[in-house]
Amino acid sequence: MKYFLSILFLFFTVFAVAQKSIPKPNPPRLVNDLAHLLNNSEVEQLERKLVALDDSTSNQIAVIIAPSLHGEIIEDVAVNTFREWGIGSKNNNGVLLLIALEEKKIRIEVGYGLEGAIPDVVAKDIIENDLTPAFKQGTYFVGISKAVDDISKAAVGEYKIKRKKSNNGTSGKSLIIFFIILFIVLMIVANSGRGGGGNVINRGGSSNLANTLFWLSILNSGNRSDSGGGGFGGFGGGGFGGFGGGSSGGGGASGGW
Amino acid sequence: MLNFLKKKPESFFSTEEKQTIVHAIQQAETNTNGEIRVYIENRCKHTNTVFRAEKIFRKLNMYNTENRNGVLVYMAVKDKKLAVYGDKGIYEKAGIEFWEESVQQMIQHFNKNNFSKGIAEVVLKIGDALKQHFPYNKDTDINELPDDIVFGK
Repeated sequence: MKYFLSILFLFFTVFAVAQKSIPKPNPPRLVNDLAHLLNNSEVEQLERKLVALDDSTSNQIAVIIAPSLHGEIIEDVAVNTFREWGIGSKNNNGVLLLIALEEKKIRIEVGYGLEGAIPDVVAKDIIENDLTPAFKQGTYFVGISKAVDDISKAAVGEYKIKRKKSNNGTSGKSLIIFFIILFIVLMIVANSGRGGGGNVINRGGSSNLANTLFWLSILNSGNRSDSGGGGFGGFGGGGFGGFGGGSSGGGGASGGW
Repeated sequence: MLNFLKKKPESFFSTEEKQTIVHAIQQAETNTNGEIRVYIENRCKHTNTVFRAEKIFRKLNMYNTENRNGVLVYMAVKDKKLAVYGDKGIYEKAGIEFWEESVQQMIQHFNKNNFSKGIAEVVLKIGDALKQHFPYNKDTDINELPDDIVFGK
């Protein structure tokens, strides 16, 4: 019975994994407003822009606005959808902008052909500068339109990171980080002064240094809640008029230890 | 920022351990025209490790085998994740259980800190499966991909 149940469970997990992507539209379109967030003329305008881009540079940008992720993780949905739709042509130069309304999450998934041109920092920058502020004001079309422009600029290497700067020069956040670092450095100095023999100083010092670096790296990696680029190779295929080839049919298994 | 302080994934294995793995790959690839590669990096950002492995598979051009029988053994040492990814040909012939088993087998070794042994054993296991489904043909078979371990960031 236990065996049967575990098989049943396995079946359902497999099923759930299969459900994680957004169904491919027929006929295929680059702008997929499943949440009806934009009006028809806005959708058409965006679609024309993206088709023109696909025709001229072969960089394929798809936009999906989903009403809800139904409890799935946006990274997974984005990567699955990217893969199943085959966004980006043979050179894997596709980008998926996925917006999940209910969860208020945005993800820019970059095919590996464009990973060099659109690294995580750029994707994050685009989300923070173009999308988040516009979405907060409810000007969805303006935000998406700007983001699409910037993604296409980045794809050809013309995008410069904007990074908000406050007028005073230093923002509050970097000031806080500065004081934390100062505090840690002072602690190290104080600690190593307290130690006795040479050997002890050395050991105390280095483990503290390791600690510091650990915290620094955490500080560094913080502040990236719902953004991020990353990417996944798309599947080959022709230009637009459709996405690429679809699933490769390979597979595997994974785990942790 | 602190890139230079990062421990490179190369240093995760000693020279002998690397040799053990490379030998296993070479041994596994004799008598089959399938291809096996091992990829090791520090972190795996994807929640689904198989996707990451598939991406690496693609990056390493492993889809370019004639019989679609390349297999990638993937490991992210800091995130403690691993995956095995097989191309269409071998994935379908070996069956889902085979891949799950391989992963479980590796996890068992990894939990005892026998990393190189775990990888080597699974590589040989995959080699056996490849031999069974894609036997060596001395007239046509060429080693299509290099046999070394690939290290990422």
